[in-house]
Amino acid sequence: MACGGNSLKHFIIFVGLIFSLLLSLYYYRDDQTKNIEDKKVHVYASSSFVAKWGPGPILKEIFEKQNIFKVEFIEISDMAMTIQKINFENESSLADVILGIDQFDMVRVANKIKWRDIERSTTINFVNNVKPVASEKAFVPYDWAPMSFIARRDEKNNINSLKDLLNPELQGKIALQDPRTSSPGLQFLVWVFESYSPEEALRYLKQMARQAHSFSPSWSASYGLFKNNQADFVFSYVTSPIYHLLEEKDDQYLSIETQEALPMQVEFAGIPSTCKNCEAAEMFVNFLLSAEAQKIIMSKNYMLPVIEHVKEATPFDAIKIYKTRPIKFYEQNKIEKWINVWTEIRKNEGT
Amino acid sequence: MFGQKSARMKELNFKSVLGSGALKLSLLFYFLIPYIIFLNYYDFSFVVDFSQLFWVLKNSIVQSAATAAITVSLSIPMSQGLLLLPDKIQALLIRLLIIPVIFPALFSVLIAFSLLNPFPMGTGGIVFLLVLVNLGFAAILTYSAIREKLGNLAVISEVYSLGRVNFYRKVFFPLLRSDIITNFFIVFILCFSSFSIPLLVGGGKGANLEVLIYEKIFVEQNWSSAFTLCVFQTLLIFFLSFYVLRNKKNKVETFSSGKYLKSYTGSALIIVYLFIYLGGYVVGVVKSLSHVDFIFQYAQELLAATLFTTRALLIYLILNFLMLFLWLIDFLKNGRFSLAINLISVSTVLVGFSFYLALPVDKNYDIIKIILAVSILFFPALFKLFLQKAIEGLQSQISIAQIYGLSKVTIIFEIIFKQISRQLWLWLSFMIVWFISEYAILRSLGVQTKTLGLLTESFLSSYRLPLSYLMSLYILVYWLVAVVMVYLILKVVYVVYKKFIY
Repeated sequence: MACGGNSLKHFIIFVGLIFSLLLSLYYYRDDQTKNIEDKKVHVYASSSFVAKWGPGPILKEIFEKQNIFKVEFIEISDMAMTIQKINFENESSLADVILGIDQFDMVRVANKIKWRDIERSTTINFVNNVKPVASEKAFVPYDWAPMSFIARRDEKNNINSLKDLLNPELQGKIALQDPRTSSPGLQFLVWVFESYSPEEALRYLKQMARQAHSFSPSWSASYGLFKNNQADFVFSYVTSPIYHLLEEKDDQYLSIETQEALPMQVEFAGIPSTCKNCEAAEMFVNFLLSAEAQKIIMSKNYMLPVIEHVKEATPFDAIKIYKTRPIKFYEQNKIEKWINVWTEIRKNEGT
Repeated sequence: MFGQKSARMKELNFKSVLGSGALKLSLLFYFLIPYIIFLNYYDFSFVVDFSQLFWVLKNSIVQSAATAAITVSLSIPMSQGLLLLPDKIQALLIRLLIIPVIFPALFSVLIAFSLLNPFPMGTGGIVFLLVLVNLGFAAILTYSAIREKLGNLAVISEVYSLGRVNFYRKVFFPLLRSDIITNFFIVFILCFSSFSIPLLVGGGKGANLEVLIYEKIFVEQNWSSAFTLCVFQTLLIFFLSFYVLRNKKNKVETFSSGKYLKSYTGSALIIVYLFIYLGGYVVGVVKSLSHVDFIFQYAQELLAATLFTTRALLIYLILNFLMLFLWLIDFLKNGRFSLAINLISVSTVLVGFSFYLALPVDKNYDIIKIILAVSILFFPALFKLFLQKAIEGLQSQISIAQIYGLSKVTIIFEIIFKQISRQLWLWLSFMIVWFISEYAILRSLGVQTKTLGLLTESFLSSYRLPLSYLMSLYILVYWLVAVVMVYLILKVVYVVYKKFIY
């Protein structure tokens, strides 16, 4: 019985040939590229930083012009996953610089891997809001923004405080984020706990669980709901309206000031101790603090510069910086406790 | 002499068993790679609050069962609505009905939110959205089952004036009962592991097992527990798939539709459904048209993403075809499919993260990561959805061909492929569109090169929602072109192959 026989053998060879040809074509690389590796600094950053419309490509171009080092951006999707991988890879990790670490991530990742202290110029004039965290040895702040609610100008709102968000006429009109999966969501949760006593915060969150339109898994999903007119208010960055103004020539968005000082998000750069090109990594992080780089980060990332005077004479200067809460690092246990409280409330009180 | 012959026979049998066993094991091993990688890094640690586990399990089951019951019930009149229409319109509508399952969840959410205001958050909202997403797909499943099972029975019933009610009572439901149950569980399984929708509209009361896994990873960073939950979910679906989704073998017959199988109400349902979903989508696209100049602004990125996606798709299709071939060889040897067929709806996070850990984060590894992960996640599900039943239906022809000594290649090409060409095209179409629009798996894999799906997601995760709408339209056009191109390439390859063989 011909169970396969010659035709089967021929067929497998035929398909195998095509497959290996395609793979070998794909993996063919010029050996010369290996020499460049020694001069490369591998920068791990979010997709919005690396994207064509983000600050990454221009920063890379300028840094490469000023130095002999080449920058290679590695896109990361999630900080927890990235740090886990670096932890497992240990010495073989390629990561020289990691960008996009916010104040909550800092607490989460600080002990997972070892970080290198970063030398920086003592003459850098950090903005007041960021000064308290500018002296962190292993993490350098490179942008920041206060967070608040964004609304459309034509939408009447009498929101002056967190409590006003609970007004009955706003039921189902506020797009929030899930603090378990989204950094802005966590910012809002911490803001509530910091603004009220534990009992008041608990009461407030219970009411908000019924009041909010939705708790999206990501900032982009909640902003999509807002942009699509499903919600009238969204918790976002106070810099969001400037994006619409500059990119879409649309001035109908505004940020809302509340009596409670606003929370703020600061993004940090860090260098893992397993860096391969540590000197270049340090140069790159310091480059991010230059006025030129800060201007690019501001205009492409739609976040505020950490250095004084950079935003002067730019549209960002028009952004009113409301009263903000001083930045604080919270213990992981405390954050987990607050998230658990929120989860329980959502389980029992939410819709 | 006899002793020598006997020894040779034993040797042959041994080789055959060894060969067959090796192939069987390799096929199973391939789909277990993510678990093996994960075990290399983490241990099992089932430190889970059981009350919490039962609670999310209950949520998962309620949401999935309600969705499956509603979609499968509605899919019966809808499939008859399809059969009312001319063949060409049927083909077009099938393509349109697929769209909701391939679009990013956010699009469906935006459409659903514009339909119901205020939107019912919680289990009701989840079920509504899951029905909206899966209804078209369920209609296609039922439509395919009718075409495969009923043959010309509707026409015969009509000739004998059986009456519509009797036709359904005595012919339709008894014959299609197993398919309806199967379709119920297919939708059930798809919903069971859904993540974005329960997270977005579930509120606190709607959290399901997949959300709990996510929490273990990203909130508690308890990877071992998350892995154990992933294994638990996979085993649950594996056994469900193994015991419930076993298809009764059926003969594929030439189908002819009769008036009992046609329904005006069904056609109206399809129109309403497409109007609601695609109408909402078209509104989104039309609103986004003012941003159409993005094609020039991001032309380079779009071109690069198109080229990369095409290259990856080509290798992915070859790999899948090779796997299908080996899968069929294994089937012909053993008379049943590999157990791996039941590894459907494996956790995206598990597969993505295991390859992310195991392979370097480097552009040069992107294609290998993508094709491995996507084939592991999609191959068993797509095979089970479109091909298993049709191939098993050919069992008697295959047995006769084997008795007559036809080679496996001949059986596969001349008996199996020729008779299931319609299912093969559906399989191929889904494979292509799921592959090109995929971004969640690719993000968790740490892919560095932009694909069309990743480019859409990049727009979505910045302020550029309109551009992501336009990208989704581009993906739909690309899909149609890709299917046509693959058809032409396969024709050419078939001719070359024939020349190569003979």
